[in-house]
Amino acid sequence: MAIKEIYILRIKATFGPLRKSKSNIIIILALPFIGLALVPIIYAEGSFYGRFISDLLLQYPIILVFPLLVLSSVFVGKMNVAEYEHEFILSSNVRPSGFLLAKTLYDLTVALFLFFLPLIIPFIISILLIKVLYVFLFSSLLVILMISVILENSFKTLILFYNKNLVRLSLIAIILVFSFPLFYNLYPDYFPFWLNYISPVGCLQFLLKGSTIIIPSISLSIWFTVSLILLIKASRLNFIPYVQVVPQRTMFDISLSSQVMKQKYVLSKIGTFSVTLQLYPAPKNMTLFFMKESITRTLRFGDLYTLILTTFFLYLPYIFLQSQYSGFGSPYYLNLSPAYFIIIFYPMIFSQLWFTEFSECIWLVKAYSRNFFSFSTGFFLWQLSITFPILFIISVLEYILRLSNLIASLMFSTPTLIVNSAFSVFYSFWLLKRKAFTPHMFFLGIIFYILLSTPIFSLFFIKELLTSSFDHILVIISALYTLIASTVFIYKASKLFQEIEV
Amino acid sequence: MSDEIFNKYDPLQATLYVYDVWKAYDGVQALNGVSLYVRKGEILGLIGPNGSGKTTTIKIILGLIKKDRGLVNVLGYDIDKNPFEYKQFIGYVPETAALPEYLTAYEFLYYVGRIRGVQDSVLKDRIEDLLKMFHLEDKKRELLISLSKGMKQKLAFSSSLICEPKLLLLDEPFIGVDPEGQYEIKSVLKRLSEEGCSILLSTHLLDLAERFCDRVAIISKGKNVATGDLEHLKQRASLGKDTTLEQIFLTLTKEGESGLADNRRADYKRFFKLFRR
Repeated sequence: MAIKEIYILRIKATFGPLRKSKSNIIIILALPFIGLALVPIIYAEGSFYGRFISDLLLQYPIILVFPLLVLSSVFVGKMNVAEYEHEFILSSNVRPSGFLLAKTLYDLTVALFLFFLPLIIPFIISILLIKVLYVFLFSSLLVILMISVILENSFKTLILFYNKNLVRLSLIAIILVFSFPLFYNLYPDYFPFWLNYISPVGCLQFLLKGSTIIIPSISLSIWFTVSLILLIKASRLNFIPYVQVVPQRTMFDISLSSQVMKQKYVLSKIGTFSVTLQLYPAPKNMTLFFMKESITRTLRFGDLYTLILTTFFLYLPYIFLQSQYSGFGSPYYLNLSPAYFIIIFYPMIFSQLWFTEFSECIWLVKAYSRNFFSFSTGFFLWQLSITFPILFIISVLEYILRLSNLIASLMFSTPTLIVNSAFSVFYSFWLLKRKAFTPHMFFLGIIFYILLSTPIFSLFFIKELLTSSFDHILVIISALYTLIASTVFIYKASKLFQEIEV
Repeated sequence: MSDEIFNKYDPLQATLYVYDVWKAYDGVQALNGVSLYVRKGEILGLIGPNGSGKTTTIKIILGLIKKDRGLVNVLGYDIDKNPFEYKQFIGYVPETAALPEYLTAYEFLYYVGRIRGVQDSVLKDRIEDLLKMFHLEDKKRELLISLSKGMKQKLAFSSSLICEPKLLLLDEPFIGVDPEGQYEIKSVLKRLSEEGCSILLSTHLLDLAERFCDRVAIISKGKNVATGDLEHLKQRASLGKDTTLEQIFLTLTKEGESGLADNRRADYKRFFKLFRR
């Protein structure tokens, strides 16, 4: 089979589900607008926002995340192929070199789609304004994406045939060189400056600072050539017997069955690590029993680690921005802490997790249990048992860093989190009853979460306008709202659960 | 056209009655007045072509889906009036059992036992017994995701026995189970039946139904085609002595399709009167 056919089949499998929903098209149309945030650094160099974004990119090189994730994936697994490829393509007389090339081209397409689409607007503006430096900057970004993907595919093959430790050491060295600017920014006295020229990310920083374009161009060209040589070397090896079959990566397919398949794959890989935490013995109280069962699930699917990592990545740039700009009139939106993100989006994430990990097993509860209220409350408490400690740690951290008042922060965020978590239970059952697992139903959910947070937001906004003597009244109103809203949602959820047909 | 079920038996002594049950999904009629019953200690085979309504019938009995009309009575409980009480006496194995694969084999049985209200002190021994009965002791600390399809099916079957049921509803319980496993399940079912447990067994394996079930109910397109023991069905299909269930099935389902078996309302009305007594 020709390279072209393998490539096209993969592309169709990945992008085909786009046609399933109009919401997917909206997401794609929205992607280019993400890059609007970068426009100030091109269009209004030296302005406050221009400096702000430029500083953010220099101090916190987000671009590092992609190459490092891609390169690190070599340590985690073998060459991944979809089931249909394993059974119908690799069983044919296809040459490994053809397959490797098709796969690399496909990976490049997806990487460019995800990372270059948001850069399209600033890229076009930099061309129109003849800002050569920025044209180089965005082009270099593309080249770094390509280098990472080519290196990943080459190393995943080479590691099978050459001394594993040698290949691993080379890869670690490459990762260190990529991330060198981070170390240099932290401890400039301990590292030689010229190493920045060798690092692709260092080259980006030079371009961002407006230094010469010659050395970064030479450096990136060398990197690109070396990665191509490695790919050619890898393509001569027969890696086919060593590939790993994984659930098909259909990026825009958010159908329940596809999500369930992906989650089960994760479970089969990492679930056994958490078997030490047993469901047995469990609390006698059925609500607590359902909660413990859900916590066990969260641990075994690895959701907890993902949530903690997500929170960490959200929080790092926030701390940086707050500490950098708190001194001279910080922009209003900097006051939006990750805690707000947690109270609005985490209940939705939990709803999604419940769908993919448990909803197909509800026949057990429906067929055997009559205690639907305990089941609903267990679902609610499960969310709080995970989100509240994360929220609390963040609030304490913010307090330690003197970014916000601990009590005020918790007084605002806790009631909102409770109401949204209760709504999440009701919303999940409602979606299951209607069998409406479409993307726009999830967007509708986000609107509801935001609307439910509004009363508490409003209360605290009013507080700013009034004197401190209103504090206790606000607390009482807030507590009442939380109690009534969450009780109603959980009660309604348990009633709704009875009506679900499986 | 009269079926033996309405002539020879007093329905009030049955463990399970299903009478004139109708169900439509989005306007598509799945059940068109299905009726059946299972006596105490009896194994009733429920057979029919794909999409004939076997799974829908079982799910309605379990309360997993709502019927449009009709009556279902389990151990004297009208499931409309008492939607939960009767479930404590039922064991169920779904056709494709989606199990919580993040639990270990032991935890899964513990989970089912707990939601069924089995006391912790009793549950522990019962789980050990079930794991031993199906030779799954060495798998008890393994996640379900790592078990084979047959093992999962045996485990799903074990879970249906955790509360010592009086009525077992089995929807294709032998799918994916190896011959040894099938033998184990069949032995347990025979023993349970002898101890008085009633079993409704939906299956596509006609030779199994022929040899294993006391009576067989054939449904097609959501309607009863025939119910009875093999002899009765042979007479019903007007076939010879050496006829197999497969031949009977093919003949009667064809009849059903051509509408010959439809006109049974008078029999149902009689049945209804008996039941309302």
